[in-house]
Amino acid sequence: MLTLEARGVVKYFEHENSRLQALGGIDLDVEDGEIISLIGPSGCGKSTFLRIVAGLECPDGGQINFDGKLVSGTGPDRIMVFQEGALFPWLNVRDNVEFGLKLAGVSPNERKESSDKYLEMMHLTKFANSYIHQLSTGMKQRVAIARALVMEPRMLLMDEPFSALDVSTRDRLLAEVQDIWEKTGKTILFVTHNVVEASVLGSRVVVFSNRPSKIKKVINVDSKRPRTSDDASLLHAQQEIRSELRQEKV
Amino acid sequence: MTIPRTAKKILFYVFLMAGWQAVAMSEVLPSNLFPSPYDVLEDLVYMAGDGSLFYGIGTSLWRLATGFVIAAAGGLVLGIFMARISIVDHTIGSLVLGLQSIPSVAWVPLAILWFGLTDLGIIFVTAVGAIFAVTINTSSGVKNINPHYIEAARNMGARGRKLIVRLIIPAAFPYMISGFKQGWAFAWRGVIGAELLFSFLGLGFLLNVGRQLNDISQIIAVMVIIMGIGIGIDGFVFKRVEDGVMSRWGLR
Repeated sequence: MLTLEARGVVKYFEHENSRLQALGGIDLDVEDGEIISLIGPSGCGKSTFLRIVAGLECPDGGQINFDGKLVSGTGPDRIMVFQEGALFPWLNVRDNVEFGLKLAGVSPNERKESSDKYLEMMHLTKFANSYIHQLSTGMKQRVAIARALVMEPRMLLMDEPFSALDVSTRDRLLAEVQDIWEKTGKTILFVTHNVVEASVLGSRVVVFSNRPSKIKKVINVDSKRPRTSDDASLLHAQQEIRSELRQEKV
Repeated sequence: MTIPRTAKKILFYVFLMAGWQAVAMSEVLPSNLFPSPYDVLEDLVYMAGDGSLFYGIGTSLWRLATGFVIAAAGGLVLGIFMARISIVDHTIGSLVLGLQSIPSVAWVPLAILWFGLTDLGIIFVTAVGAIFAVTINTSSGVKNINPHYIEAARNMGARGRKLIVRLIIPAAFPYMISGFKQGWAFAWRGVIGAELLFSFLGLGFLLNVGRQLNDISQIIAVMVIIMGIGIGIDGFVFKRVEDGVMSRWGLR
């Protein structure tokens, strides 16, 4: 079943009196329960595309349908995990995770039940009462993922969430994301500029071209899960992604 | 040898008092122009005894609190509007910057003509002296919110008033506190200044009475009280709130 249909998505940016075309017509279909990695040269507009899917920005052309309905704004069915987490420093971990539920008017008991479940899933139970500045970067990203999952979205939109992590923390989180995916069957759109992350997570890796970007190539990755960053079976896909990206370097 | 900080402080004030007492006792200056700390203390005890001191403090604090609450609430609303709506920022924003430069006592003549010699007039002066500091700080606080916070909150369903209450205000709160601190300091100056000129009850009025009676020790006594209240509110209210917020955010 199709979750997401992007058709000819175009986006311009105003930049110091000039108009830059970020997206030059993106067509993409995402099936329910897929993990799709979006990769491309920096500044190519892959994050912009993700933000349009989230409804945080409007396309200047084309359209996106989600579950058969035209996307016209943000919705709790598509939750974003930001690069630096965007966690709220005035709330502790639990209150951060419950933020969206509270907005939706969920009762305190039900809120606690949901936050307990996802805090445990992300190994955060011990840190429920910590404030954000007390956490390591890896922990912060765990909180950001728990805060997104608690909304029970259909689709998780992850915008370079692991780019600030050290290698071993990143490897652990790559395993956890696959684990969450096994358990919940969420559809995940994962934006990254890292070839290893893209190949470990994606069942398909979508390579964006330079601005104005189009989809250059879609690479299927068939290795069985759970995958790790040093899986030899991913080497071929990684080579393919690298060679596509190399052609884009100016 | 290192002396603890509080000990240094206490020692300083002991020397200050002793020096003051010594100068007063030397009678280089006439005692009616330069009273001794003992005279000041005597006046304080006397004013406390007949209740005029507490009545004065109560009146001034009540006016301060009312004026400050109005200023804090008004400044918060105005500041958020300024930060979120650019037309408000470009128009009212420039006026606010101008009004901020007017010392609060300069509003007194206007307040007397508008409200007469009433509490309302003094509260007006207090509020108007504080509101722009709160407005400006709130506005820059809201403008400096990490845009990802707002996007994340919108993504989780925050709109309109909920976005403001759950996100904008707490996210801008560290700035707002500096606004409140500044605003309260202006409000306190405003109350005393207005009471001096209105000459209608309160600590400012007691200062005036001291002047009319040529009673310098009463003037100094009231000044000491004004300073004490200033230090007290700053230390017990604002510093605590500020420390609490800063440690939550990990800014200190």
